[in-house]
Amino acid sequence: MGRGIRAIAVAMLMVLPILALADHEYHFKKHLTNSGAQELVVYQTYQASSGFVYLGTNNGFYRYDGKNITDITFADSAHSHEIRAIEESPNGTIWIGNEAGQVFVMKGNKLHQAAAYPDTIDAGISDILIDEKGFIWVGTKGEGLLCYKDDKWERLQAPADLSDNYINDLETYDRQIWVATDRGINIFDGDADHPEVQKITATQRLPDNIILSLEASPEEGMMWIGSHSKGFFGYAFDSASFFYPKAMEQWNYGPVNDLLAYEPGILWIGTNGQGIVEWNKAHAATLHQLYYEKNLSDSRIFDLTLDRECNAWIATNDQGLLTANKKIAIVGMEQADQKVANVLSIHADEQGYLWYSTNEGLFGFDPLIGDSTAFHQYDVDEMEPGDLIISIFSTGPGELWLGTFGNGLYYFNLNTGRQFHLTKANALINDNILSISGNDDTLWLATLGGASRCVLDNPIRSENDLSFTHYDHQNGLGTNYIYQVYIDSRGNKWFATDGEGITRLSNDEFTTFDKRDGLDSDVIYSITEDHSGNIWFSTPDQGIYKYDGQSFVNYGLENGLRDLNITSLVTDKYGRIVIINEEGLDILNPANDHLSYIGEGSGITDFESDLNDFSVDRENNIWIGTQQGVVKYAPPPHNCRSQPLTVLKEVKIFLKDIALNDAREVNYNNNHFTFEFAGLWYQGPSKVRYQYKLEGYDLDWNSTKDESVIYPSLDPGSYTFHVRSSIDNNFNNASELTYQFEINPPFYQTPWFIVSLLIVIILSIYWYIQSREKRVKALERLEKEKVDFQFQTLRSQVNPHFLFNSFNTLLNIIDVDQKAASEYVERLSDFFRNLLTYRQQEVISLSDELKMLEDYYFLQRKRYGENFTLTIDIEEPENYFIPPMTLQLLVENALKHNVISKNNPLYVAVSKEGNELVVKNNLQRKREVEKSTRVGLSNVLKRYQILFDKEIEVFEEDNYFIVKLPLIKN
Amino acid sequence: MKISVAYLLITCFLTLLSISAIGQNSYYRTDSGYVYFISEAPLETIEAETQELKGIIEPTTNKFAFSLRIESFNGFNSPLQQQHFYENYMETGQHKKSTFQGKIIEEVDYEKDTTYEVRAKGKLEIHGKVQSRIIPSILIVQGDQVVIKADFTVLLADHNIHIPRIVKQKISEEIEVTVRATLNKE
Repeated sequence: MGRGIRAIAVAMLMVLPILALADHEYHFKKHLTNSGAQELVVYQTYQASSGFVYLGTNNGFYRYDGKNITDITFADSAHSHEIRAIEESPNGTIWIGNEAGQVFVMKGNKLHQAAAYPDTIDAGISDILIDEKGFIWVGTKGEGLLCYKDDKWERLQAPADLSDNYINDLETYDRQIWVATDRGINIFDGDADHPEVQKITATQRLPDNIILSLEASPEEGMMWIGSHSKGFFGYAFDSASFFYPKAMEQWNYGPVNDLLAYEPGILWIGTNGQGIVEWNKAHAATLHQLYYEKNLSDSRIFDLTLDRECNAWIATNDQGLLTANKKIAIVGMEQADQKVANVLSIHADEQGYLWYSTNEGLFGFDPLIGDSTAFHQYDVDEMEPGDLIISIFSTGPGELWLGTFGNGLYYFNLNTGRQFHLTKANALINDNILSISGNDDTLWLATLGGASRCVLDNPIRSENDLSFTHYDHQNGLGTNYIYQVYIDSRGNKWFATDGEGITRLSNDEFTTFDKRDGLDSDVIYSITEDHSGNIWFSTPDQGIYKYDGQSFVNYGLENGLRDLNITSLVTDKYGRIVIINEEGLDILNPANDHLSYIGEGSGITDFESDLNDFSVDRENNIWIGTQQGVVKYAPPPHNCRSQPLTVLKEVKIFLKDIALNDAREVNYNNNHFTFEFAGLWYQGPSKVRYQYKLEGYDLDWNSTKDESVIYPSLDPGSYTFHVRSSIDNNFNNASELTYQFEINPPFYQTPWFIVSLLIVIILSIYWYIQSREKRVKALERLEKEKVDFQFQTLRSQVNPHFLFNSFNTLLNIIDVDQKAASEYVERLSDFFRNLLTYRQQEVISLSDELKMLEDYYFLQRKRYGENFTLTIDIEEPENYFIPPMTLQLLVENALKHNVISKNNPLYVAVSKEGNELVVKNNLQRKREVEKSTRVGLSNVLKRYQILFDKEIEVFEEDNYFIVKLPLIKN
Repeated sequence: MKISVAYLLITCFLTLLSISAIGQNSYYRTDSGYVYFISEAPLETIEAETQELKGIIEPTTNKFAFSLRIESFNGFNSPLQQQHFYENYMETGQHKKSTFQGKIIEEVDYEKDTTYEVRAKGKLEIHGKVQSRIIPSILIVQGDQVVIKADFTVLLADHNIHIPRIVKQKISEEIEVTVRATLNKE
């Protein structure tokens, strides 16, 4: 049914310019606008499994997070910094190839030359492919194909292995390796150990021998092929045949540098000088160029890739690096200053033609036409002035049903010109037709007086071909106010009522669900069904409900809905529930209850739409009538990310990078941590907000716009850093990243240290107690010795012999020399006084000892006269110490044990020899030894041992008796 | 000294082809091919031509090599324009020659007098900057002669040919090149 026929039937009132829809289908964004990055020419983009996009440029290899680039440098020198190929292996290793034919592997943030790679490749790398087995295929520009397996590089070359050595592209599909060369396509069976090549060239009727690009599209079962001179075509794997699209016949856009299967049915063709050409399978004969600031049409496209947000990355020679993302399209229509606003109802018919109504009447336009001829206003003769069309439905080409507010239903056939008007007076139950649903044979009208079923006896010539059945409160409907009649996949009819919840008509039986069934709202605005057969309902202020046949589940703000002013529910082609509200669209994935949002960022402000003011066209685009105009929502494929991906860029300790994989345990003094993170959201990186929390330190989440956080002095302990990102401050389903680490306590806080410290303390206390006890014992012993000695000395001194002898001596001299006698008595008393004074002390000075010895000598000299001589030769005796009575005892011993007579005089000498005090006497033993206790000498010996820990020497030599005492200095 | 290396390479290549030709294979060769270029801009059109294109095609491998001395162009509007062209744009002091070498993609039967539409793929060096190009050409086999006809455009930006800002309006960003050459079998 052409528009030509429509033109006959309707009066075209005015032609208004309509903005070309194609311009608005994609939201373009220019990247690398920072200074420094502007100079780069990007040849290749690649999104790694980490989420980062890597860029191969004319001057190096970069990691890009949407805002900044990070240079990935070569570990060794490379011959060329022009990077033309990037590929990630299944284990996450990134391989790149440069223009000098070298292949590098990324390890850490450095590029290392690939192991065992032949150095004889003298041509640039055009592509790298890693197949499912992990084999690495490298295509060169003139040196054939290289394959790395089993740690060896195998070289495949024309004419045996390839049809040509110049390789333009590599692609894999279903374990096959496709190689695009200057002489056709070569296909390797990746399963075979020694792959046999299948060559498809002009001889096999390939339209063009120079194949520049390949794009596998598993969803379509197709390999898309771009050629140098003949445009693009496909290879269908089902039928094992080539597929030549109609648009290929008049291809005049030059060489096809790259292809992108943007989504099933839509192919982007990157040309070598004419930008991107879009081909839509649904309109196979037409092609249109994409525009970006009116310039892309002259661009050379180096590369097209799709990331996980479903951004198409476009590397151009003159427009830099761009991304394009499908966005909500607002079909704005302007004439003079008057915008088309307040769209009351909208309907897409089977041809894709769009009908809509405003206060001004009925309009229509063809979305495929990008200019003013697309747009028409239609005049329905029968319609009365002031009639507001609030529902539109079509039952066949050009056959329209128009529901009004208060004035019934109009039938309007564009092809036949037939029109009629139905009201409560002739057929209807009510004149307010809120919505129309159904199919080509049966209509369902939702009115303010109940619902009506209208069976059509096609073809319709008059109102007599219609038979109505009315349902209202009396038939079992909950109430007469019906907003929508929805027919589910099982044929059940659901009625959205105002006041009595939801009513289901199943096998001629009405069932009403309300509060008793778990449906807390008694007003239902809109109904839809997901792909699993669940029925969803929207309410005026309580969010939405899901009914799985058993019970109702509510979704509200706490589940992530942005707004409760929900006007319509509709299911998109991927089974997601599109919730139309004043903020825009909330899109709920029933499989996992994840929500994504379309709102301000898509160019929408004040998204005001009437109840159920939407329509789904044959391509599953959703058209929504709003106050702003008509909005088109083309759902992005189900696997597109709808939230930023949180990644950790760096972890730093004292501002120094650490490798992310190790050093999870650090010392207590490495406690200054910096975390740098990003929420990868390439379509709008500036909108990303973050929440972070350091478990073990922070009690709650912190919100920030910054992409780094510093923890300057963390106590020892175990921590987990959490960060999540969002574009709308709703972190419910946000992607979260964690980094666990541990700060070890300092050595003095470690258990082993404390334990060993305790052991040391206990040991030293034990040792102290032990040694103290020893010392006390030694002291006790010394005390005992001393007492013994004193006792001995006293005893020896008060030896009656000594006294008798002394008194005899005194007697002898007392008459002769009274003066000498009194001196003798004085000396004797001196001696005994000293004896009593010093015996208490452990040591006395040597001079005191010598003084006492002299007294003793004086006393004995009176007795022995010339027969006994004592000589003392010691300098500075006051500097030395000696246990008291030592010398006296030794001299007394000498007197005791030796014969003393005129013939045998006794000489005793006390002198200092080096560090020793020497007491020496000539030896002339008595025959009968005086009875001795023999304690004297040994007592001296012990005292020296205890007091000074020193030995004394006692020996006979050359008829001398010698005692050597160590001299003790003070 | 990239330029002289490239120059050396092409000379070597030509020599090698000559030697191998003397060995057993025949080849087609010219020293007097015709090249014409025109750059149309609103204010000033630059056009010039030369008859000194050197070229060789080896029929057995379908490989070819062409070389052109830039300063052999003549027919400029004025001596001043010629001087600007040589000194400011092409910098002939450093980049004396332009070369194009590669292979012919399509198969050609040199034994049969036929007209072929072929694509010559190779490395085009102008102003010292190499670009990989595929140039569609007409190749006519006529007895012992091969006639080459090619028309293509060269983007100044592709070859790092910088034009002063004020002159930019004068000079078109692309140059249209016409090549006509008759190569004789040797």
